[in-house]
Amino acid sequence: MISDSRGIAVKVPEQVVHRAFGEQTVLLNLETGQYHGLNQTGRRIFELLVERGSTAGVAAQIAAEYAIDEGRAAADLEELCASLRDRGLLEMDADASA
Amino acid sequence: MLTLPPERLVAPGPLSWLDRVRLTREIAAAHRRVRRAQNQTADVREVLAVVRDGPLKASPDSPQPRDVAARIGYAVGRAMPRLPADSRCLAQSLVLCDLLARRGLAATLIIGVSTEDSFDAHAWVELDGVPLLEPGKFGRLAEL
Repeated sequence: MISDSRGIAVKVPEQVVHRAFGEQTVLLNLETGQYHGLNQTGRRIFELLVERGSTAGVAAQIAAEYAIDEGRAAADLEELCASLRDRGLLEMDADASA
Repeated sequence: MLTLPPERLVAPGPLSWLDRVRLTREIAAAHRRVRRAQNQTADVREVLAVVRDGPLKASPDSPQPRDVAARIGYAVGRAMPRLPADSRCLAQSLVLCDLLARRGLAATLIIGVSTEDSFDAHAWVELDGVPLLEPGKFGRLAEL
């Protein structure tokens, strides 16, 4: 479970390229050739993860920006991180909290 | 914002029948090299490294690089759908990179996407920023 206060260090692997197109962000894993599209909310979460290099404070930020419950934001964050990690689009290091 | 590539480079005048045959055979051979590399790895960067390995040096008496590249790009786009080969955009792009590398020309493989209506991906090749294969209306995601 991602704890917003402690945070988990995250990093986009070097084999992943990403870019915003309109309201979406598209990620491509060059190693596997798999694409992944992020909608508006997913895109914003991803932006924050890349900026901060960590999950710390991301849920709180999303909750504030989208006027949603922080618990829901944390669940969305955790789901997105798991999905990106499983596709090789994000590396997470729970031992290197940030 | 979607940045669209410039217009595609137009090939110069027609080839002789014999030159067309030679080039078609060369395209088929390049496709076999690309397929062998793709059977080893799914990583397009690694496949590119293989096809770009050991390029010949362009002769100082060679025709202008852009003319050569345009002619070969045109030939690849025409020939590959007629061969028993993968003629999709990525395969064409890798074959073209192979052929250009053997002539000492360092081209860039572009991966593009379109998110309008539905998601679609495309690949093409550029030389000095000018497309040698049809770029379509795709935004640039990666340049390799």
